[in-house]
Amino acid sequence: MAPRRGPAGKSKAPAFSCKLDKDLGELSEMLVALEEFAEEHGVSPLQTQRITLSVDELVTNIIKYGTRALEHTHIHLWATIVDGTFHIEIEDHGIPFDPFHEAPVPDTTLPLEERPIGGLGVFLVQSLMTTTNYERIKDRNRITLTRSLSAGDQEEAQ
Amino acid sequence: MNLTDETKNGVLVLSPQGRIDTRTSSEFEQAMMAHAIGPEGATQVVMNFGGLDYINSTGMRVLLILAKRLAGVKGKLVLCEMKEHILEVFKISGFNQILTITDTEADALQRF
Repeated sequence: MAPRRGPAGKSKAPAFSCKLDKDLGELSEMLVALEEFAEEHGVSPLQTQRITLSVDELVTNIIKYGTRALEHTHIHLWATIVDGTFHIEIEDHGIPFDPFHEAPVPDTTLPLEERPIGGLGVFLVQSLMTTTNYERIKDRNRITLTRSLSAGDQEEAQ
Repeated sequence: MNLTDETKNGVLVLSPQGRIDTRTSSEFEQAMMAHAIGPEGATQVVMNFGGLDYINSTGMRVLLILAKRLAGVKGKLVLCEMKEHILEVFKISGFNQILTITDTEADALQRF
C-alpha cells in the first residue's frame, strides 16, 4: 500500500489516494491512513468513523468476493474534501457488481431469533453516506460516495 | 484487538480493546468461542465496549452469533459503554432492538 498525499492535479483541495493489493492487512493500514487524513483536515471524529466504516465495508466485499477470481489485482481509492463535502472514489477490476442495487436489503426489524447472520455492510454504507453511486466503466467497477460534513454531525444518520 | 475478561458477581465481563475489523474479527470470534459460545462457555455475559474504537459488520456478525447462542440457552448478553459512532451503527442495524445496551458497566451488571 502506498498512500500519497498532496494536491490532486491543479486543485488545492486536500486529497488522498492509495492503491492496495487485495489484502485485508493492507486495507486495515489504508483505513488508518484515511482516518488520519480526515482528522488532519478537521473532519469530526463521528464523520471520520462514518467514512472509514463505509470504505471498509465496500473494500472488504471487493477483496472477499468481487476480485476473488483474480490472482493479482489492485484496488484504487481517492478521497478529497471540497466545499464541506467528503468525496470518495473506489475502483476495482473485479466482476461487475452494483452493491447498491444488487445486494439484498436486510430487515432490521426482525427479532433476534429470525435475524440472519451477516448482510449488513452495504446497508450501513447507504445509511451513513449522503450519496452513493455505482458505474461499470470498461473492465472496472467504480463506486462514488459523498458525505456532507456540514449537516448531520450531531444527529443520527438517516 | 485485545480482549480482557473478568468475572463480577457471577457475570463474565468481556472487554475488547482496539479495532474489530475484517482481519481481526476471526480473532474476536475465537475468543468468544473460548469464553462464551463453546459448550463450557459462560451464559451471563457483559460486553464492555469502553475500550473499543472500531467495529465493522464482520465484528457485529460475531456479536449476533453470541447473542443467539446465549438466547438459546436462556443466558443473557448486555453491552455497555459504547462510543457514539458505534452506537449509531448499532441503531441503524436495529441491534438496539434485539440486544440490551446500557450506558455504564454498573448499569449492565444490574440487569442480572
